[in-house]
Amino acid sequence: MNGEAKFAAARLAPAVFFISFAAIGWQLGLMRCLLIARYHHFSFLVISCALLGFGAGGAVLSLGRSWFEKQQEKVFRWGTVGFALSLPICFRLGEELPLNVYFPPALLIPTLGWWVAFWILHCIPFLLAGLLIGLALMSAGKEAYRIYAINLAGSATGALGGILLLAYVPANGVVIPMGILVSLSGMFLIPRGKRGPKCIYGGCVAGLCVLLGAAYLSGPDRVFPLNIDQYKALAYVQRLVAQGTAERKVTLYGPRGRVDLFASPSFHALLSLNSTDVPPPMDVLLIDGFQVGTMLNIAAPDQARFLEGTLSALPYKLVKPGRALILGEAGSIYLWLARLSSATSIVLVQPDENIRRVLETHPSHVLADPRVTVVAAEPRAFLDKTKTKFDIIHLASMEGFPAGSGGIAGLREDYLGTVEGFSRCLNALTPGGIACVVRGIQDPARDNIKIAATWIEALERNDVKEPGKQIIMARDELAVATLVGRSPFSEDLVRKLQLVCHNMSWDLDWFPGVRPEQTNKIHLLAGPEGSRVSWYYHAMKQILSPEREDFYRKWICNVQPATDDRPFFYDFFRWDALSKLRSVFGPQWPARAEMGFLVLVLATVWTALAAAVLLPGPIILLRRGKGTRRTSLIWWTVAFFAALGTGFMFLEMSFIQMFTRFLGDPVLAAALVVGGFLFFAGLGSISQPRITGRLRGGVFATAMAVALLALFDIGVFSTIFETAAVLPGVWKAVAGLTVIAPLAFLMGTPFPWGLSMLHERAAAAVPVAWAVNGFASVVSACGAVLLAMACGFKWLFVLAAGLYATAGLLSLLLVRSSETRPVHTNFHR
Amino acid sequence: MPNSRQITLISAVCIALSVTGPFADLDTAPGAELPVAFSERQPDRKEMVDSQFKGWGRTTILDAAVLQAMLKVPRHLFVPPSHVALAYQDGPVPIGHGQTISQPYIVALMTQALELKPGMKVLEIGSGSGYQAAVLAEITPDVFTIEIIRPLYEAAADRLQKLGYGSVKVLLGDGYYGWKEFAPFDRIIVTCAALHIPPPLFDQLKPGGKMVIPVGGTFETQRLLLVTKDESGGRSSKALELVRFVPLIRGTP
Repeated sequence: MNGEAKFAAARLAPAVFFISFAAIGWQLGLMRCLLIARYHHFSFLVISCALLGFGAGGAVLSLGRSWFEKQQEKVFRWGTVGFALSLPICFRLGEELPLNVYFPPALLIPTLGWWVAFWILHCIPFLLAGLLIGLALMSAGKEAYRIYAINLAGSATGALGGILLLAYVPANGVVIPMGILVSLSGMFLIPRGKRGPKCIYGGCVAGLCVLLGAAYLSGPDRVFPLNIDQYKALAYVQRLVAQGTAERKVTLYGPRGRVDLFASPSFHALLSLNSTDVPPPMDVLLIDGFQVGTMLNIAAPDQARFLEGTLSALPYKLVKPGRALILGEAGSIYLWLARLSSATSIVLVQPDENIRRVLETHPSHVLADPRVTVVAAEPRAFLDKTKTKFDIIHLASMEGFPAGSGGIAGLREDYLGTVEGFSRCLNALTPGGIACVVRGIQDPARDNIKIAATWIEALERNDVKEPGKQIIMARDELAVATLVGRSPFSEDLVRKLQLVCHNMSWDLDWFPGVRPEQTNKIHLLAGPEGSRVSWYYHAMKQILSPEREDFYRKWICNVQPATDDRPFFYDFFRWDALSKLRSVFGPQWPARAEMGFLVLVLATVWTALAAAVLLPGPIILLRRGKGTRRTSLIWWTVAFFAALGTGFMFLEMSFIQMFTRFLGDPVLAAALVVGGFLFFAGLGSISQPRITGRLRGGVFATAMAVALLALFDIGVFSTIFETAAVLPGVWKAVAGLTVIAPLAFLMGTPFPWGLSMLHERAAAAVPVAWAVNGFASVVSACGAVLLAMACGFKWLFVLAAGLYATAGLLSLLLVRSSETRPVHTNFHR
Repeated sequence: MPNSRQITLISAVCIALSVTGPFADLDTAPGAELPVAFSERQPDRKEMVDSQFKGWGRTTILDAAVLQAMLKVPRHLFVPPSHVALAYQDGPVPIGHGQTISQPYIVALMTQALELKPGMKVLEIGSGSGYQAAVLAEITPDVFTIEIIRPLYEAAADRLQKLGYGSVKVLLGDGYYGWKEFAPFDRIIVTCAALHIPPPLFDQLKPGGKMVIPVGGTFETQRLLLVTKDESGGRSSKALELVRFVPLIRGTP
């Protein structure tokens, strides 16, 4: 048996590796495709549901275990071909479906029906992948730990490979190399013996490779065109291109997103009603189909003078900057404003290489000024490191004009938009310096209230006793500019402010010494009943008073400042607001309800329900098997592997968050953490028999060590972070991997140990274990984000530690029950 | 109201279409005697006006001219056949090409906010289906509307013509710079396109004129701005409350 199993493991190894590689790599590629073609909501939902397929594969395996055992080799062989085929077919079919993001009640059933079909199509490849890997684990017997290690290695490489591919290949083209790699792995599975079956199989594999290769040479956009949702900015500009009134200038691919630049005389972004000048031509910059910035298509800086009539120019009207800092601009507006000013130094911090490339090569030569320096870094990472002080800081990455709800963007982490981030910003200002955020007005008011609240708490952290004296809120019809000073604003500056706003027809909602009658005079906004002030003024008064916490509790949106532990600035959701929104807005309430959080809840519930539907079947079959019914073993299997799947995911997500702060780059952080965890866990898996055999306490010891390390890391990581913050990027990555390695190594041991225990006692339970682990991973991926948003990332560490401790105790339970009662259970039919 | 030449033209078109098409029974000009197209689904329009223009804390639509226009214009003829069932629901309706026809309440509220009188000149940026233009044309004949997306422009122009709104001038083009040949306007309505920023049409507005700008996502108007130009050319704005709403829960400020 051992010999056969080793042999099987050896033959299956390449296929398992590439199937694992493709499953993760395609997950990244599909996520990017859905982001470009659809909206964050739906891509998140589809991805989380598609991964259900992985767990469902294990369930299918369990339901048809006897048949799969008899047909292992054939199923694996042709299943590999099937998986390779399913990738491009399901993707292409999915893009053909008439999906609609609008769900009117009268057309709810057909609209939902198409989305269910879309989801099923995307589940199929992951179901096949889950089934095949589960089958390999099942057939490998006691050597399952090798298969698991190969699975982890393949997944790690797939994570890194997927990110790398996205840098060079269009997202809709990633499916092709994934399919080719899986097909090629079929070469290791060519049947031995008769020539006929050999040729047929080999021919199919080769034919598939050739077809996919031809598809790649034809061009992914031709063979796998993305069906861009008609309501996206990308679809709009494509319509203008089709009728000859716009032109695509640049398309660049990268792990951070697809960047498109379009030019048209019909693009007119960013102007104010003030201006009577004819604005210059503007190019529109899109990332993943969403408009993120505007590039002025001008030949000389003077053509940008109209920008001096916009709200973004307010800081320059109040101070004469020496040094200006622009954080995260994805366009050229703030750059031109800075260039028009007296600034002697202009620093632009932009982490996206493709956006930097667009800026560098744009015909307006916006960077062609000796005063301009471009820094490739995340805004928060730059603020953490810089010792330079600036007179004006524009938080351009926080600019936005979302009139509606934040959608799934509410789930996005932003370390600049936290109390700690704003505090770093204040520290980077000169004594007379001003930081500025311009953001659109919403109804009900939310973004700008949160911005003001975050500044106030950041000022208080910097020991400012009267933060109200260092804040200004000015607005036009569409947006609010919130300005914060390093020092209290002088009376001279306040007088200048009032004059400027009067001349520009801007309203003031807050400045030092403001009286209610001085506000809300030109652009009237609603406010408390019986008063003429706006809700912004009211909010400022409340936040600056002892009633602050009460105001946060009562406001219909979550406007409590984000922190590094809960860095979700764009999360405005409140459960207790839903009933009020429904009663006020009637049928239109969803548009006000911050659906991002609700989509996440829906995804978590949906995946949990699916698991609850798909798992009982295999478990019931297991119980009905011949021989002794070991209900306790079944529950042990569910509990042990669910604890491992959930704990692994919680720790991984927590480390991604920590490393995003540490490395200052979310893509690099995800690659390092996912790759590092899977790689070192794979090493742990390979070493598992030796470790658990020699270590006193076996898996109990390793699981408890994981729990203790996780708790230790919460405390020690901030020290490591502070110490290593000044290191160059490569050494930071090395330091980070040093933290990950021992933890991940130990995390790789319990799972294969559990599988080998099941092989001895109840081999039929192995696919159930695989299914449980798969479902737990998927549910906990959504659950982790929910928990982090609700309680903070530290709690994820604590829960993960608890889950591994639980797994350790369960391992002890199994070992002790085996010692007292020999195992005779045979679930084979 | 259409002039006699337009009535003749409309009649000729109607005769030509007498065997096919949704206007097969359109045998008289609007205004003289209601053609069948205008009498279709009147109960739905009455229900729409009676139930959607008040309640839910909404600003009640009281302007008689606006109510009459909303009762008259056959909204269902401005939506794609696949969405006809949604025409009178209390929400926006997709019309293709990434556009929607606004929720009936929003159309009525914007029209009421304009305080339109017969004889006033009104400019609309973003014709879409032409529905808003038709509603405006029921109050004043001098409606000018501009659409940038060719298929929408063609469909709107054709539809407005066939329904007897021949006085409405439809232009294919970039409405960002307004329509200088016919400026200045008493009223301007701006349906913001994908880029969500309004154009600088202020100088095409007469002193005392008003501009209404809906701001929001594709499916939901979040805010309605009413910009006014005073007699000396200065500007002020007011956010029109779509609903009377206090964004506080559990207690008072």
